Amino acid sequence: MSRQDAAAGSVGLLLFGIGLLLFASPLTLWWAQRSGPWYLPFAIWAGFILLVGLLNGRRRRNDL
Amino acid sequence: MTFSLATLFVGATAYLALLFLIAHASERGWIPSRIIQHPAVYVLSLGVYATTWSYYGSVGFAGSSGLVFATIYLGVTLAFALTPVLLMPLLRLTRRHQLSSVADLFAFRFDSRLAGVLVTLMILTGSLPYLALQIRAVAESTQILSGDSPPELVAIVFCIMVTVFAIIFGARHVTPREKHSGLVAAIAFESVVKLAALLLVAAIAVGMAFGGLGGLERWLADNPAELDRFTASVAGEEWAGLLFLAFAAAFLLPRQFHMLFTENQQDAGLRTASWGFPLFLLLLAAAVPPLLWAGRAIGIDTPSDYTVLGIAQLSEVPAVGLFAYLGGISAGSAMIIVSTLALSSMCLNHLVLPLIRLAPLADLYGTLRWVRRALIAAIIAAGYFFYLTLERSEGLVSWGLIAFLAMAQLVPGVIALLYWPGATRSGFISGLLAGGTLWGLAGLFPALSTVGPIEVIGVDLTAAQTPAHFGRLAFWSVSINLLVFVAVSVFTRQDPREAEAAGACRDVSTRVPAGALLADSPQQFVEQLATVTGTPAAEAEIANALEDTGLGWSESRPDRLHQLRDQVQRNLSGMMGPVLARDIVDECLRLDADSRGALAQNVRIIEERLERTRGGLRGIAAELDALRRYHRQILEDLPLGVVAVTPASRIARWNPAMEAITQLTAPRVLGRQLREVPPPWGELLEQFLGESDDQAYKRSLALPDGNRWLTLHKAVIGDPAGDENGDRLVLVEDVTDVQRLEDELAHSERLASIGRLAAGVAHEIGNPVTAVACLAQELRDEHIDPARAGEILEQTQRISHIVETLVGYAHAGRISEPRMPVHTRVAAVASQAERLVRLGPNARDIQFTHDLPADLAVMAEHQRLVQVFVNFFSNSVDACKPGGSITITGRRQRDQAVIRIIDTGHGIPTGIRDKILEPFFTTKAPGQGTGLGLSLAWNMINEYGGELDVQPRRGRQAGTQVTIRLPVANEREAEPVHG
Repeated sequence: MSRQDAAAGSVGLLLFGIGLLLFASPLTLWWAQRSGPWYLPFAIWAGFILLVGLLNGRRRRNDL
Repeated sequence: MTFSLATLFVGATAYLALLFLIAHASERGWIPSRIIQHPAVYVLSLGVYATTWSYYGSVGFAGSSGLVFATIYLGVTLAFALTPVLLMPLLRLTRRHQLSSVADLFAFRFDSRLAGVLVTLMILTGSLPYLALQIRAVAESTQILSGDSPPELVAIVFCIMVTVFAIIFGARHVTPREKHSGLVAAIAFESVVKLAALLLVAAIAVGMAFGGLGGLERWLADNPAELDRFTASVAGEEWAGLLFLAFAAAFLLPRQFHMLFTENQQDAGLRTASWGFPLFLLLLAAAVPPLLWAGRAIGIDTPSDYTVLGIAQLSEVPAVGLFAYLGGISAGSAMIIVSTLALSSMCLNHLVLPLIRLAPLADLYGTLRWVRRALIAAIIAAGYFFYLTLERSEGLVSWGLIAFLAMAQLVPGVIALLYWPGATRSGFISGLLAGGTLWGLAGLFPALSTVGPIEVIGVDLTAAQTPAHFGRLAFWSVSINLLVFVAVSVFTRQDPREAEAAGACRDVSTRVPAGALLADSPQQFVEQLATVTGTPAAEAEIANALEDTGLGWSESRPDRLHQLRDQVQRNLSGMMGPVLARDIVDECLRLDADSRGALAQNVRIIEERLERTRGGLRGIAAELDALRRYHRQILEDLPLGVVAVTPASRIARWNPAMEAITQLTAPRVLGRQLREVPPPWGELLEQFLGESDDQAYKRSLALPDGNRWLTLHKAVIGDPAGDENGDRLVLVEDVTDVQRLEDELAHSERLASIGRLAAGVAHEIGNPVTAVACLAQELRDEHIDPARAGEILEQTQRISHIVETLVGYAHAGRISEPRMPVHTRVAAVASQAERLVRLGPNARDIQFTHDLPADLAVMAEHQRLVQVFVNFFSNSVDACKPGGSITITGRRQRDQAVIRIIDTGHGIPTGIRDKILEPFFTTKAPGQGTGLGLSLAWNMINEYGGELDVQPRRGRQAGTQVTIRLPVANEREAEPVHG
């Protein structure tokens, strides 16, 4: 695995970890039990997608 | 609002016809390729994930299980977040080895036909009911909108149309090298349709039920139990299990694998999909809760799975109803088409081809294509049969989850494939059988039968097919699968082929071909391959492989032919699966196992593989690789040419110094026989290796750019065991510069000898010249012939000056007496020089023209200046043809006298213009000139503080113009002039 791939892999694992934290951990119960608007889960989900896009985009700009 | 069956039938048919048009337009190039190949189209094509289950069933699923419905999309989001470590490596692996399905992937990794068969059977079993579900959804949606009995005709026509579409646009090419751009475009269009339809119906639902999003908020505030029930399901036990199932389905479902990897054209598409596809799913999912609550608020009476259609009907706008119906058609048709294509490929490679004996076929491609088309038709027909026998009450969700659960059994294998090289074939098959059995008993079997309760390890195998049941089943089946997989892998060993495949999956394979190829050329490949594939296919496959590897039909280098063999295997793998491709290549393109695998012959293959796997080596392997690089770098940086030659006279190493010496690049000569290396190098090396001496000093070699001298050394390379393996090493040292330096040194030594002799020569010549001068003086004084005596005196004086000048030049400027420049008239000097030159035979036909002011005088010595003019005049006379002319002009310019000697000779060639003032440089034949004339003249002019410039004549006239600048003499410095 090249150094660039290894760096991208680390980013991927980080994102996956954040995803697990948001959607498969006690934190999931916490935001589900908040009396927020009905679209709160979708907003959190959109924020996560934005994060994935940003980190992937950052990597792509560094590609030669 | 209801529709007539005919309206729906025409609408569905027209929609499918539109799909045909889009696919056709894409393949014909009517739609620009920059649009077809845009990452957005690829991302949308992944939308095939959303079937009628997502389109219709999600609302019912959300109604019964709340926010759990979103796990089916959230799991995919998590899988795509792992793109760099999961999806991208899989994409590269499938592309590199042309693996077109999940079954190919495992059959390749575990080098097992059984693994491919098991995976195919499991996926096929899980997928057929899922296909049936799509047909049922289309039929039921038609029934709901038309209010008629289940329209079998619509189902049959729908199946026929998707079959025709899949055959035409999905099975056009037999190899994954060729992409089905029409299929991708059509599936992307279907994704747009279902997303737009769902969002439109959701917007209408919110408008109808609540008057807008604000109304929805108020309704939820008034009915807090709805929102509480919706979000409470997050705490349920099924949440994590379904999340995992969706994670696995995201890339292992046949349709997902097909669109993600097989139809992918570039890495950039997958990187965009890592966020673009989850965004697409988010939009689909976000429409579900408003639809659910709107349905409840309105109180529609359609089944909850078909709330979308119920709301569209209530809108009383026919176009909306039809659009919602077509959204369902698009979801169902896309799933059936792509799933069938993927399943047909798996069935062809792992179920059909191993059973039929491949005979040399006249048209292999045609046969493969038609078998695959027949499989597509058979699979869709089987799906239709399932549809006819499906339990009508079964929800849309259950069959989807059963298929997802089948895919989840492959997750341990995928992780091992990418990150556990020690996993064994036995472990994978055992794990798959264990997990698959539980899946079959507790997932598939209960859905198909009505047998009473059977409980195994806490799981009621015949329990209601609820999401919670599938969540528990996911945990148990995959856990048992994983446990058995690991345990069996630990206690079993891989065979070499499996270990090699494991390395290839991680791109760290360094396998050396075990033997020499029996074929010597691509043409022989064709002949050998034709025994199985038939000649036309063999020719086409070898031509494709040659194009892929950048080789030509004349290739004969063994390492390149090995590379060609590997490429042929990869290309066949794309058509027939990796196991059959390997069998065919092993059978047809045989290796001579008895031949000794010379390491040197495979150096390039090994080094290329190591370069590719550089980052993948760890521990001692990485250290050894670093050591290898260090040793190789020594050879690369050696300022001597290094050539390693195998016993078969093939070149195994050609370092950069050798490239510089020969101007032949390494790729051009590596692997070639010595006799194939361009002359004179191949001949030189072959001759030297044939000689008994180990050294050859200063061997002369004639090259177009001049002679070269090389010193060669050779040695036999020993192998680590201490035996000589017969490879030979030649060191080539270019000693041309040393040879030239030695030649110049010898020349300089000769010049120094002349210098040393000059004093003696001057002395020896001086005496007779003095005697001649005395005799001439006497003859003049005796008035016998004063004119001739005067000329004799002048010539003797000239000889004396020449000798004196030569001595002076040889002593590098150390003149015995200091120079005394005096007032010297140029006209008199020029006239005297002309007279002297005219004594020679060549000057008689040359016209001299003097244009010199009588009073132009310079500070110099008369006799030495005459010598300067004589030298220039002599050169001009030699350059002019008979009838030529020499013009001497002079004028005063400030403190200098500018004298020009212009001749009409042939001029001075450009190449030697810079050399004419160098001593001993002459263009005259040996014995005709010393090469000292102009050099001496230049020295003399310099001594008087003058300048010399030799240029071609101005304009386009031939000839040379010599310009001499000397310090002008004033009248008060005037002295009696010589002669």
